[in-house]
Amino acid sequence: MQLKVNKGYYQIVKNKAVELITEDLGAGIALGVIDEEKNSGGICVFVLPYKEHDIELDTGEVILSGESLIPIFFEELKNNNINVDKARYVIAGAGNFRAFPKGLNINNVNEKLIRGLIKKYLIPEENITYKTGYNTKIKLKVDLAKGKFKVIIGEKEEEL
Amino acid sequence: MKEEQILEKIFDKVETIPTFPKVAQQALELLRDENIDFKRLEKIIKSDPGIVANFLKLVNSPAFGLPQKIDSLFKAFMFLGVNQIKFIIIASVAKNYFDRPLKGYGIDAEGMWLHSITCGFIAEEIAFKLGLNPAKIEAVYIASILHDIGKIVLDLYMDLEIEEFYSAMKEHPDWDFIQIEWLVLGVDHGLVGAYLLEKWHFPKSISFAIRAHHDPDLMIQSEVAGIVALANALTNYLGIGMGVDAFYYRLPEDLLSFLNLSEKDIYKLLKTGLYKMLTFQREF
Repeated sequence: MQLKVNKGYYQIVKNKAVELITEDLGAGIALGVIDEEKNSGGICVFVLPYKEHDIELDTGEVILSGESLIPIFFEELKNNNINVDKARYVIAGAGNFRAFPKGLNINNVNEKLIRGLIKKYLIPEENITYKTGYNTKIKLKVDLAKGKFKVIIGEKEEEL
Repeated sequence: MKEEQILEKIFDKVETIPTFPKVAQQALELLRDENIDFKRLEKIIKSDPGIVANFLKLVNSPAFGLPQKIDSLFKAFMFLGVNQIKFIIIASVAKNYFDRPLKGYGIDAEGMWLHSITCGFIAEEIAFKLGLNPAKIEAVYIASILHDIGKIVLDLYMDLEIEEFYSAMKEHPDWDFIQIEWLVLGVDHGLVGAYLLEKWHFPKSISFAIRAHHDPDLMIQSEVAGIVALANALTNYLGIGMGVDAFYYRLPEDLLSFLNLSEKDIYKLLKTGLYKMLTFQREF
């Protein structure tokens, strides 16, 4: 079964052979997590960086920015007994044009934000793989049946 | 296939693309009058059932914020402003062009449609912020919603020559995607789109904006072109309907100063664009 995780949301799955997949990330970021020991994992995705960019829809749903989403996601990982400092992570996205004006560095702002926020959780740097800064579309998959990350860059899929 | 043969076929294919409907052209013309005859406008649009169906579906999207369900064109005109009516007419026509996946460019039909509409929403916000006159706002609507129309012509050849594309991209890593399109197909999707709009007798400012939307030198030569290029870029930053070529281009350093926009404005535009797209997507 495949579950799509939209921008501004997260999904955590335990003991299920589920594949989580993001939409195209654009300048946004997806943070994927796999805890092989606990057979668990998740993804959270955001496209706008700061709290002031949270979007409330008229249905009451809130599309969360990175600053709002990341702490909630880590809180939920802990609530689901995922071993945050032993799990593996992939940070994907933060795409941009080959050249762009200074004011259009949304990718850099997003990447800087996530690098700063996850420092708080003392994750060993070797547990994190970055797949960021490409000039094409990119999606992230967390395949919990295989315990693998899959990054689709352009039309090519890479397994991690 | 040789480049000349491909080019010949591409221009044969252009001839098969249905013309922008006369009904929509007439409706837009009527909406330029100071005293609009809405009864006449209704009569004109009603003569094309396809546009009517799309119009009524679009107008009921929460993205247009109407307080009640609309079931007739005339009722819609009473609730909407002139700019909104123009936007929805253009979008109603565009829906029929963007109704199939673009396999070569790697975009599904829904993605293509959402990309075009979101680009229109963002372009509209920029046009309002810059206080453009009604004629320029209309040009912005047409050029932003139809900016990728050239892709529907090129897609078949892009798909057939996909291996050529990948090897050209590998061989020329510094080239932008329009240069790759020129190398493999002998033309780029901006130029083909502009050719179509000229063929349909749209003003030069519109075809120029479509021609220029990936050209860093041209996009800062007209306000409409700059707006369309920036709106397209922001739609890609949001990850909406991205093709394989999405970020394979360059934006000029002075694009924001040319449009008198700050970094703060950009985040506002991204937020509004995402909000409108999500609201629109939910109902469409």
